[in-house]
Amino acid sequence: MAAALAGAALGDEGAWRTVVDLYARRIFALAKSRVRNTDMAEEITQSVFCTVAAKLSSGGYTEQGRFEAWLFRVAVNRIRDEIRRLKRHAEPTDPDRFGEVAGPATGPVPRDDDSLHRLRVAMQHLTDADREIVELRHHGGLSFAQIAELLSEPLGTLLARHHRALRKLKELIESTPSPQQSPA
Amino acid sequence: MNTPSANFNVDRRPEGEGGLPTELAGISSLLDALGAAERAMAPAALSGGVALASGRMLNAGSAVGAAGWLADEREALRADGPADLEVSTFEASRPHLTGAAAAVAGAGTGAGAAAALPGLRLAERAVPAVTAVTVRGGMWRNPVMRVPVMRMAAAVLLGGAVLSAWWALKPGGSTGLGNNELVAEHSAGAAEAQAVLALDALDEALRFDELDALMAEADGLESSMRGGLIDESELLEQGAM
Repeated sequence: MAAALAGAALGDEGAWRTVVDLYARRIFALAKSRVRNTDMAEEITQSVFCTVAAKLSSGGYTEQGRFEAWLFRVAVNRIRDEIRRLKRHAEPTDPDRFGEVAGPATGPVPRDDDSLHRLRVAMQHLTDADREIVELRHHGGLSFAQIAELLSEPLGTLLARHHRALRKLKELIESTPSPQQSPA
Repeated sequence: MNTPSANFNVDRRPEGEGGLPTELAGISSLLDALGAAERAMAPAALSGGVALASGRMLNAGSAVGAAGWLADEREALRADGPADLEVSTFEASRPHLTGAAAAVAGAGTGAGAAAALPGLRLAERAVPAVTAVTVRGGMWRNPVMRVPVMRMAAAVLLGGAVLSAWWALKPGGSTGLGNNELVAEHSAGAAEAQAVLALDALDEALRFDELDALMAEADGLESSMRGGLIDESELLEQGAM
């Protein structure tokens, strides 16, 4: 990774491709989970790597084996900015669009999609802070140690919050009837 | 000897699926599956596109390099689909712009950060020109749009216009300027126009000589927006007048 970063800082496109191939999908998944919009998640991903490009070229980052945590810190800050912006721009949803948002009202839902759909919905009931931990862990693929460093949280506290968040998700999912179980 | 923290494999998975209580192993696996599903939804072009764009942004250093790459991209787009950009005029009909931008870049110690500061200063001057362009073009009269277009103008000088234009023009893409709403509303055609307008704006900025007061006005506008003092819907109405 150190060699790739050094090459990327010099504008080596091959090195950039290596760096981006390693991380772009994880950043994208993190953003997508939060903003629920593919285009916006893509834009956030692009923006994160532009920031990284600028920092690397200007000497704003020195490789010390913590690139991944630093990269995700940039991503988390960018996503938080976007969420704040979205909240400022929040508008009432047109009732005519409810159907589009909710998806088809009838028809069987594949088992896997059903589970993941209910999990996505349940995650919206977590606090922002707990959701961030869950997403960094399961979408971003960071270790707990990296998340603790990124969020400046003691590891024990972080693990406890992760457990609490998982427990809440489990309860939420178990209390939500599956569309397959609902009367047609 | 094991310490409590040693019971967690903190570098990857907690021990035995968690140090996690057994009853949470299932939800943890489901979350892993969800994360994998979200990663799989990343557009196929994402990795390559970001890599190329970011690498090129570092390499460009001046609008000259940017224009060259933009021309390459245009040709590629032309070969792939119906996109027919007017940005080719960037190279041919605006030598003063290309030269000035190169001079700005060269005023520092070369490419990269040294070129950024004068580049951004010049881009700031583009703000009123953007307004003029938007009025003339009948698009984006909304003063809120000054800021993202200013960013675009800054990117032009730093070679990043290529980056934005590339993203704006790819199928279903966005401009990378933080204005998804605009793109969602006007689709790729508007994004394409935006790239052209930004180049126009920068072009005109180089001819304007009474820009400081207007720039201060734009600064105040942006500061007020950030402080939540101005309702953006109000700005929209003003801009539509």
